[in-house]
Amino acid sequence: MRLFKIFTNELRRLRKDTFLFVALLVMPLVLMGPALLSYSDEGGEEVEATPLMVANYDTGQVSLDYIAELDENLQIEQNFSGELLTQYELQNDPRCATISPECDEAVGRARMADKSRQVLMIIPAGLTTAFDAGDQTPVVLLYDPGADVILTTQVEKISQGLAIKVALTKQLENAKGDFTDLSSIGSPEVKAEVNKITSEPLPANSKTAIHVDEVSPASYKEVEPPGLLGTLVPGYATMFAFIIIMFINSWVHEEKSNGVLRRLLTTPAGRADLIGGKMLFGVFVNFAQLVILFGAGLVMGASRGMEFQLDIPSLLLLSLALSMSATSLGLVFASTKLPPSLGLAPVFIGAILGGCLLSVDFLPPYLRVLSYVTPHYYAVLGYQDALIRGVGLAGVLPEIGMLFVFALVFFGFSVWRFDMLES
Amino acid sequence: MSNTILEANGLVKKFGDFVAVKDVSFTMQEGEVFGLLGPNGAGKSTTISMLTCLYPPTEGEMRVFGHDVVKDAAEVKKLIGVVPQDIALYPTLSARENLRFFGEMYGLKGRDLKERVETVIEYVSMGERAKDAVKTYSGGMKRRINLAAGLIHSPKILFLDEPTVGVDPQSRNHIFESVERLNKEQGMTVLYTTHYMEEAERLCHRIAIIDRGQVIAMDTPKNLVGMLGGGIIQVGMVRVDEEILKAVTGLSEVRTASYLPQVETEAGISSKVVLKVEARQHSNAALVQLIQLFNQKNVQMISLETLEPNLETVFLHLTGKSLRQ
Repeated sequence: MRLFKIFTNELRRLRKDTFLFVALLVMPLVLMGPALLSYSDEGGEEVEATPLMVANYDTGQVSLDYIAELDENLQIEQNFSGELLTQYELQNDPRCATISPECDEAVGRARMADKSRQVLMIIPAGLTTAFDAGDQTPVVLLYDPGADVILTTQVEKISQGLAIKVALTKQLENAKGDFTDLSSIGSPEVKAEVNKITSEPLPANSKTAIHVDEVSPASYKEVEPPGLLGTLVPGYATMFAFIIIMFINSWVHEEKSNGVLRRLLTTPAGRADLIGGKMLFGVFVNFAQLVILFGAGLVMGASRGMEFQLDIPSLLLLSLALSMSATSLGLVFASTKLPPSLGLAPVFIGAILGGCLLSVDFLPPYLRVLSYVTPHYYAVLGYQDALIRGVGLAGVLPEIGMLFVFALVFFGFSVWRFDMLES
Repeated sequence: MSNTILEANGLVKKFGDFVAVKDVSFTMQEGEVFGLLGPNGAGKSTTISMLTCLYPPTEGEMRVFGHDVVKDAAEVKKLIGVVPQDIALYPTLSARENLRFFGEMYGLKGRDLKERVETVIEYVSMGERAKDAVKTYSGGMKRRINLAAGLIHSPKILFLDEPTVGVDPQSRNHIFESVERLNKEQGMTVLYTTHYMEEAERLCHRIAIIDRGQVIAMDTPKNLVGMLGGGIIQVGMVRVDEEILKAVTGLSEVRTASYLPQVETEAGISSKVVLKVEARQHSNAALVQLIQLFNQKNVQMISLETLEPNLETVFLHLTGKSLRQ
């Protein structure tokens, strides 16, 4: 069949084109490897929390509670001394004669200046007093505008939570006082009962009003949280699968401009053979690319003690559906007059919208709507189902179905629009 | 050469409002080398594209070996070979791999395919470089493989669309020899389009001169050149002079005379007027009479040009412009 001859010829072209061969099959692996290794949070290694420098001028309990609360989620750095002072030439600075908030602030500012730290919190003197008096006191958060926005948001939210907690505690203590005062006009029995209630310590579990218990839905299998590695593999693999768009587009463009497509149309090979052969080639290469990427990702994950739901049938079907949708999208681009270099646009725009690089929850609502019309979204969702949620083939079928629908729509469009005579 | 194997009747091709081909009709006999000669944009490639099943005509019909080119395209494609104007080859593949692939597209396989590949490689004298990637070849070598790809399935009719564009003289000569050998040794019928009159004169048994989508003359090269009699003389004058035109027309060695349309240059309409004179037998005899007449009438000649009778002159005579305009 001519379709298969076209397919084998495309494979021959790929084999002869070292740059394309490397770009399609090796480059994604090369790019994904370091990215995955950099997120080495699997395998029992203790990951250091994000550092937060604190210069505390307050001497009261509120600031200590505040720092203790922050310390649960961040790595608090204060009371600087020793080599760090020498490093920033502060060893002879009068502010650093003893451990002091002034010295902490000086070191903190110096470390921000050389970009080795991104956030410095300055707690003013009298915070506790002001708090007890019910006055608002500003806490300064000095941050690098290029800092990780998640860190600053985290500090902000912990501060808000702590403020509410302390305020409520204070209100409760005031209420207890009022209650005791009111009991003085009651009978001795009432007084004794009130004394008993108000003098009882709070139960140990009353420290937090809400306890977050992490439980997966019943339809999901319980697995160890996969961490960043597990979430990166589906996203990266999906993004790189769409690189085929650029190459299909570039190859077809070359065949149009050098007249090969015209020549082929004068042979008994039909339009269906030509488009079908290219589709088959794209799907084959794309599928191989995904197998390599997932193979490498899974081996890397497994070597770090990561637990995957290795649902092979779901992974294979998903990869096939993804390959078909990516290749047919490539044919859609090849059917337009857009320059081949623009083939990169759907790769990256689709990756951003489809949640390959960052969860779609981070997108503004109007862009999130667009996510649902990208095949990337369903591919990432499907891979997460198969690798992380462990829902089985039946659970992944909706995503597989959506990817096949995309493939069908794109392929239909490209067959309709494909102008082989255009040069 | 009596068996008609290709017929084109009343071909018209429109792209939107643009009419690329208007009412083109011709036939080709078996074993004939037929030329379509015309300047760039004349409609030669569009005509060849219709005949090779790339475009259906807007009007008209075409038959190859009795098969309707539109309705029986699959049959027609097996009988024809096409050598396009572009180097329509995969640059990263070798000549052998390219030829193998195009052979497969014509349904060749196994030993047949292997033999045909080697035969056409030898035919275009590319045996030594057949395993190298096409992108490493010179322009002329690429053209030779381009020709070989059109011959891979031993077609009955070969369509060559400007096969020598951008080719060095040595490779051009090689292509000429290949076409002549194909025709003489294998009796292959060839449709050859070109805007070089020397190629058409050398290779073609019959030529259709095409301009602005229309066939304006069709005959053997000898008969076409014969239309001009003794050749053409162009006399440059400062203004149109109807009296001298009348006198020139009456000269015994002059067949016809007329003023050419004034040429538009970048600076505007040229002030020079050109009187075109067609000699009856010999341009030299007509030239002597012309010079005597202009002297007698005391009319100034500002230029004088004698054009030898050839296809270029025929085209000029028929259209008032050169093939390369």
